Amino acid sequence: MPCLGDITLRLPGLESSSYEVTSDATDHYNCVAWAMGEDDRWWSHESDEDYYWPDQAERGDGAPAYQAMFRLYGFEECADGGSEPGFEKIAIFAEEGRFTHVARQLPSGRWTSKLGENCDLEHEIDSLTHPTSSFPQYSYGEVVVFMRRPRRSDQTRT
Amino acid sequence: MTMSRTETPSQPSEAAGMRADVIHLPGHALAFGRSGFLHHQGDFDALYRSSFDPWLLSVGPLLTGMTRRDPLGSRPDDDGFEAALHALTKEVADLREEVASLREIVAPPALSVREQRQRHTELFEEFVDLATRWREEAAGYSVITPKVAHPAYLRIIGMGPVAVPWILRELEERGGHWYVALRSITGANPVPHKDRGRIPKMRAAWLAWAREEGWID
Repeated sequence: MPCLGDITLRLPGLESSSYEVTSDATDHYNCVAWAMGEDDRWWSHESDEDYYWPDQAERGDGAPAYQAMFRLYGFEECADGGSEPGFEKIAIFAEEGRFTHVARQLPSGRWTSKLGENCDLEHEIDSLTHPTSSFPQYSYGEVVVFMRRPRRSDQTRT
Repeated sequence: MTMSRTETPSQPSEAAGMRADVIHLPGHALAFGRSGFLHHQGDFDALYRSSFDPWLLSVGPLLTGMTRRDPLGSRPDDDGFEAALHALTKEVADLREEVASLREIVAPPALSVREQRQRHTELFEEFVDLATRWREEAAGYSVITPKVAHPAYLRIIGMGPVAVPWILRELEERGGHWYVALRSITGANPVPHKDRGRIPKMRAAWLAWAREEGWID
């Protein structure tokens, strides 16, 4: 499936791990929507006039503001990204304290990410971080917190 | 030389109630009406035609207002009159230069049709380069701020209304988060609140608005 450009150039960590592109590039949704199980809305804390953000959630560009938003949907902080039966996990990425990305754990224990306006990936959690973070690489920083919530029995989305 | 200052009606409007201060110089009489306009009488007609710039008539009030003095009235003799006239002419010339420079700032010199086309083509080529660069470099961001703070995106916003049809064409053909740019330039936001983040609906709303407003066909 087509991504925008060479995805391994953007995320060099993918080269030394297994990954799979699972969607075409699209601007219809972002990683936050994808973490919430949506693929038809762009979530963003910034622009109330353009993008969706829950009314009851605080707005802020820091990872804590995103943690607080995810708590509204039943997530709570957890120790690590190890697979736990019955739980759905997310990994929040930040760079210099600012939220940059969120990945969602699949029942298999691997992770799925929507890369901005680019494609979806199934990947290892460490493959999105890399020592340098200037273009052409995506600047996702590193995982700053893992969160989890009970996996719903009707959750079949991968 | 004698000079006297009298008050006498010199124009119909003044005769009707507006008095004028008249300065009598040999062979000349200048009347500064209460309206601030210069009026000429007698021999001054000839002087006016021969050496006075008609523009003075329009800048007279401005000059008086700006300088708070009357260069002619401040030199009460013949030599003084010539000197004052010279000084006034110089002040007018200085003011003209100042106005010209201000006009350059407010409204740059008009370009020829050919120059305008050339400029338009250059701007469009720059837009294409910037949009390509922005798509490539900002596509990975899920957060909007770094997308719209990207230098290429900011430069496109800086192009102003000329870029709107180009942005709309990009939006129609390739999608992309052009909404902040469109709102910034046009001041409009045709997207209903309930459709925030619903990208296909946002795009459709903007394109429908743009057609209705005549930005695109």
